[in-house]
This record gives sequence, C-alpha cells and structure tokens, in this order.
Amino acid sequence: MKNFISCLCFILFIAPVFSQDSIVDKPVKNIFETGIIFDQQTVVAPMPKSFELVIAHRFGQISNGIDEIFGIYSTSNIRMGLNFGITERIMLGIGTTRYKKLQDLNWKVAILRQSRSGKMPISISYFGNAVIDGQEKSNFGIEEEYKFMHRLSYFHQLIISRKFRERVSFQVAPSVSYFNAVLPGYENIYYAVSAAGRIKITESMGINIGYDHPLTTNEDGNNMPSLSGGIEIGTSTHAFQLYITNYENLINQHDVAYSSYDMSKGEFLVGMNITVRF
Amino acid sequence: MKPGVAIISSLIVLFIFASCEKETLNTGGWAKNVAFQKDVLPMFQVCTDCHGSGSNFDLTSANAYNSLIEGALVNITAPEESQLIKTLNGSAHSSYLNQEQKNIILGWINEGAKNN
Repeated sequence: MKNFISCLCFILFIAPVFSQDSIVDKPVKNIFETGIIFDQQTVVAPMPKSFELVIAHRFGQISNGIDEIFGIYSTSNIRMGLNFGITERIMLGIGTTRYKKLQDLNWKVAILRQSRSGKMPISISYFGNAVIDGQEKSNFGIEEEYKFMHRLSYFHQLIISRKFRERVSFQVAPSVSYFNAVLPGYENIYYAVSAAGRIKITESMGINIGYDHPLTTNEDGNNMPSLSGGIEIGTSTHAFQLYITNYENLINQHDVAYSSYDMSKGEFLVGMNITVRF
Repeated sequence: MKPGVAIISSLIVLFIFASCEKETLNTGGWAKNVAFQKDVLPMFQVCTDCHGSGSNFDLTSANAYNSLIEGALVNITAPEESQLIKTLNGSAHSSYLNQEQKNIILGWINEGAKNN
C-alpha cells in the first residue's frame, strides 16, 4: 500500500516536474510570422505535411508619381510559390516569377532550433534554391553557343536568428549565389549578407525592417544594397506584409546580382507578400 | 535514411553537379551602319504600351530620339555604359529586346547616336 501511495505521489507530483523540463526545451515558436520577410527567407517553415502558398508582388517606382499611383500602375513583378513541410525540419518549395520567367525549386532545412529553456540560444537554418531563367535563347548570348546550362543559377544561405523576449526577433544571413553563365560585366559568384528584424506592436501586427548588402560588386558597381521596411499582419492561417524596398527581383540571387535601384536616390518600390497556410 | 533527408540530399548533389559551368556569354559584335529611323525606332514599338505619349519617358516615333538624348540615356564614348543598355539588361526590361536587337542599339550609339 505504501509503495502504491508512493508511486501515486510520484506520478502526481514529481513526474510533472520532469515533464515541465521537456516542455521548456521545445523550440521557440514563431520567431518570425512567416517563412519570408521582404525577399529574404526566415527560419520559419510550414508545419509537417502541410502546404503554404506564398504570393510576392513588387510594383513600380514610387517616384513615378501620382500618374502611376506611385508605382502601382507601373510594370510590376510577381512570384507565386508553394511550399510543403516534409518534416518538422525540412521544407521543399516551387515557384514561378514574372521577370525573366524564373522557375525555382527551393528547400529549407532547420539545423538548430532556439529552445524555450535557453539551452539553444539561436536558430540556424539552411536555405537553398536552383532557378531556371525561362527567357528566349537570344538572351543568353549568340544562339550558336547556347546551352541549357546557361539558364541555371543557385543560391545558398545560412539563416541565423534569435527571438529576444516575445516581441523582438532578429536574423542575419550570409549567402553565396552562383550563375552558370553571365553577360559581360557581371560575376558568376556573388557573396552577400542580409539582416532583418521584427518588432511586434500588437499580438497580430508587427513592424519589419531589413537590409541586404552584396559583398561582390559588378564591374560598374550597379548591383545595389537594399533597405526595406514595412508592416506585417498575421492570423493563424494568413500573413500579410506591406513594405517599401529597392529590390525588384523577388528571387534572391537575382536581387544580389541585378538589382540596380539606388536607395540613396530614393528609388524605392512598394511591395507586398501574402502567405496562406493550409 | 529518412525520405525527406534523402530527397534533399539528392537534390543538393544533383545541383552541385549541374553547377559545373562557369561562363561569360559571348554577346556577339555590335551592328554596323545603323540608321536610327530604319533600324532602331521600330524596336521601340514594344515599349510604347508603358512608354507612350504623355508618359514620363516617351518612346513614340515622334519623341523617342529626343527622350533618349535629353534623358542622357546614351553614352557615345562608352556605349555599354549607356543607361539605355543597362535598363534593357535589367530585370524589368530584359525580356523585351533580344541580344541581336541590343547589338543594333549598341552599334547605333557607337556610331554617334545620330538621328539618321
């Protein structure tokens, strides 16, 4: 009887203490609202066995003025993507982008995850993509020397992030981009570093800010760094971001190599991202 | 090995092998004896939907030459540095003209960007 009571006491009072430790050691939730912030990736991925639809839209230059509703009537770029959570740590995605008819296959792997106990203070994820440039052959130099491989480019990034308290998150992400073939004046390999942060001002709304800096520059220095800032509204199934930025390409390696809008000249564009989880 | 890890690993290996190319594309030579009215102006027809009359950069037949010259979009001393060429190579405009057409424009700029 005594043994039985001892066991019961253990189960009722002692075991939950061990259970509490395992709950606290679980990964921190919602370091960012969604897997994308401006054109950057975050450590967030879809839940296992679930899909995520991502629509990213970039309008024209704000400086085009009221005649073009500050860029909304101008030529715009759009990417539609679909991501799938294979496991808790692995995501696979596909997407298509209007500019240059870019078709992308992408993947994200959670390497380390920040834990609630603080034992693991940061999250680290690896993001990669392979992109096919779908333009006509005549865009890849003289047609006699065209090869399909000329269309391919790749992007690899380590995303290091941390949630500070409940309302502030920050990440830094070095990257390398590789283009199989480039026009004269451009490089095959680009190194870059990005940073982004979010401050939640209410349970569902936050302010995002981001900066991207290409460490490799083109011959005439026409690939520019980017500054982005905007607001974000999230629900359990949707996340909506509205912001301004000077990047236009939506695909990371094309942003690093080809974005020529100069933020010091006020060449900003309005952008929005919508993520739907289902 | 778990299926997800196998898929990702396979993709990474595949794309490592597919990224063995490293080339600078041969864009061919610039055109010679280019006439603006006959060779260059007709190309801008695809541009006038956005760059038509009254737009901030008018490329219609009557105004295209003045827009290019007064907008400082051509660089006669360094044709490849011309803002027109940089814009045409940029993401938003890269699909509109092919390399052969850009070589005609480069040839025109190289020959003085005349309204001939």
